[in-house]
Amino acid sequence: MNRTRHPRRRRGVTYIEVLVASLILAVSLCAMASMWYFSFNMSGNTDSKGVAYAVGRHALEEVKQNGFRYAAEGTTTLYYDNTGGSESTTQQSNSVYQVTVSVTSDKLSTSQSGQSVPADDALRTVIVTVSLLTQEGSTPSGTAVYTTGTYLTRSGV
Amino acid sequence: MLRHRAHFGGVLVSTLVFVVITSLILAGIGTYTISHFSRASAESDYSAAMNLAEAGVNYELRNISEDILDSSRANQMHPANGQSGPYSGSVSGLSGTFSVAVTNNPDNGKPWYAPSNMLLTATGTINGVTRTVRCQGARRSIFDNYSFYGVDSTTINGNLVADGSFGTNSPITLDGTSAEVYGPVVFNGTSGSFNAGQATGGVWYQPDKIDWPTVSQIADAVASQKSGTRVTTGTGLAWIKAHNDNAQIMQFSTTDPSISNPTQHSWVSAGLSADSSGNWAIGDKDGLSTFKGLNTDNNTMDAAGASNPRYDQPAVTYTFTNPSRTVTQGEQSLYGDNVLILPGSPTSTPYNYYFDEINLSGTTKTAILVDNATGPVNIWLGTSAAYGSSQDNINGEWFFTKPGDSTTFRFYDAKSGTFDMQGSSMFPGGIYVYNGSGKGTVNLHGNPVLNGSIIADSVTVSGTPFINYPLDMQAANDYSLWYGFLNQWTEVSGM
Repeated sequence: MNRTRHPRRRRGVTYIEVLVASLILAVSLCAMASMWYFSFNMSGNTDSKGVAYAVGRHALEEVKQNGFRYAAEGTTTLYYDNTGGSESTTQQSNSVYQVTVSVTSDKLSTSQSGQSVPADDALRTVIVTVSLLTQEGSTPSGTAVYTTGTYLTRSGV
Repeated sequence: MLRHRAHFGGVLVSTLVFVVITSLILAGIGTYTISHFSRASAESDYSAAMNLAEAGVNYELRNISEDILDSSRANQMHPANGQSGPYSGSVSGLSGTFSVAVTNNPDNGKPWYAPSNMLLTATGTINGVTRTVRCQGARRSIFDNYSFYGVDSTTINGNLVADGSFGTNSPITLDGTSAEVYGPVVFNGTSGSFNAGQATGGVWYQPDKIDWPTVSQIADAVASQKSGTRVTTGTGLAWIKAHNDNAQIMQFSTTDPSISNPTQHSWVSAGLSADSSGNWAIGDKDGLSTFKGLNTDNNTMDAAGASNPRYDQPAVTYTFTNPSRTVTQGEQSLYGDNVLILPGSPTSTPYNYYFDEINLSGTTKTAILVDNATGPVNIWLGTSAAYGSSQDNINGEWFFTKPGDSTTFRFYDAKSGTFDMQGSSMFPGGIYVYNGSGKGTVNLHGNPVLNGSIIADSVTVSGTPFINYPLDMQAANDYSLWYGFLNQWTEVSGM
C-alpha cells in the first residue's frame, strides 16, 4: 500500500512573519516614542503657559491696584522660579520666568523738582510680557509665552 | 486523523493587538495633554480679551474727557447724523482688538449726550475669544479737584489758608505773604512757582491747561437736562431766567410768633417778582424793602414794615482737621429790611434761583437764608442790558440751614465783572465765575470761611480767608470736567 506522504506542518513562525511583525513593531514604537515626546513637551508647554499666565496676570493686577495715578512710569522686571514663586527683582539661578511690565503715558506732568508723573488727562498703556529664561517643554528660552495689557485713564476701570 | 491547527500569523496578530492598544493609550494621553494646553491657552486669551475690553472702556472715557464740550467726540452706539459710530482699535504692542461705544440706553436707539451718565459697552477680541463688558460712566464734577482755581490770574496778597489743592492755568502772583495750601499746587499748561508759600502736596506742572466750561455752557447743560431737550447753544441762561424757581422765595411769617429757628419752615411767599423790564435783582437800589424779618430778641415777630427786623442764628462751631482748625461763628443776626429765604428743592434736582444783579452791600441790607437742609439750591447771576457786568457782591448776611453740607449749594456768576465776597460768615458749596478769558473775577477778602470750592477766571485773595475743601464736595448735578467709571461693571457676553 502506497502511503502518500504529506509534508508535515510545522509549528512556529516563518521568517517573513517575524520580519513583518518586527517592522510593524519598529514603526509603531517610533510613533509611540514620538507621541510620548510630544505629550511630554506639551505638558511642559501647558505648565509654562499656566505659570506664565498666573504671574503675568498678577503683574497686571498689581499695576491696576496701584491705579492710574500711582502706577510707576517706565519698565520694571521681575523674575520667578518654575512654580511662579521666588519673586525677585534680579535674576536668580532658579529663575525661569521673566516678567516685564511697561507703563507709558502719552502725557506727563512734572514737579517743581523735576519728578515726572502721568498728566491728569493722560492715557497710560500697560504691557505685561512673560518670557522664558530656560527651555520649558518644546518652548525655547527667550520665548514670550504670555503677553497682555490694557489702557489706564483717570477714574477709569 | 490527526489535524494540526495552523499557527501562521499569530505573531503578526499579537503585534498588531499590542500596537493598537498602546496607540490608543498614547492617543488618549496625547488628547489629554492637547486639551490641557488648549485650555491653558484659552484661559490666557479669555483674560487678555477682558483686558482689551477694559482698555476700550478707558480709551473712550479719556476720549470723551479730552473735550467734554465737543459732543462729536463720543463714539456712539446709536449715532445721530454727523456723529461717530462705535470705535475699533487696539492697544499698541498687543495683539487683539477692542471696540467701544457709548449710549444712555442700549435699547432706545438714541445717541448719548453730555452731561448725562453713560453706558459704555466694550468688546475685546483675541485669537477668536471675545468678551464684552458694560459699565456706567459718570461725570466728574467741576468741583471735584480744587479748593480754588484761578484760570487766567491769581493774586494772593493776604494770609490765605486752603485745605485742598490749588490750581491755575497761569503764573500766580504771591505777594510775599503766608499762603498755606494743604495740598498740591498745580500749574496746568504754564510755568510758575510757589516759592513764597507752603504747599504740603508739592508743586506740579501738568502739560495742558484745563479747558473750563463757561457759566453759559453750564447753563446750557442744566437747561437741557431740566427741559428734557437740548437747548440751543448759548441760550441756557435765558431759559433758566424764564423758568426760574424764584416763585419759591419765601420770607418769615409775621403771624407765627413761635418761630425760633429756620428749620421750622413757617414761611410765606415773598411775592418776589421781576421788575417792569423783566429783570430780577436783590439789592438796595431795587426797592425790595418790604420783606419782613423775625425778631428773636424777645422771640416775637416784628410787625410788617417794622424797621430792622431780625433773625438770630445761634452760635455754631466747625472743626477742620487739615490744618487743625476750629471755626466758631457766634450768634449772628440777620438784620435789615429784607430777609429772603431761598428754599431747597425737595427733589434731587436743584431749585434754580436767577438774578440779574445781587448787591447786598449798603446800609439797608438784604439778608439771605439758604435752606440747603431741605435740598439743593443753585443761584444764577446772569447778564442783562439793565445791569451789564457791574460789580456784584454778596457781602451781606448769608445763612445756611445746613452749613456743613457742601453739595447742596452752587453759585454761578455769568458776568464778566467782579464778584465780591467778604465778611466772616460760613459759605458752603461751590462758587463758579468763569466766562472766558479775562471774564469773571472773585475778590476774596475779609475773613470768610468757605467750606467748598471756588473756580474763577481771576482770583484775588486778601485778608485771611480760609478755604476748606471737603472730600464729599461732588454733587450729582454738577457739571462735568471729565468722565470716569461710576459703577455697574457687568460682563454682557463671553466665556
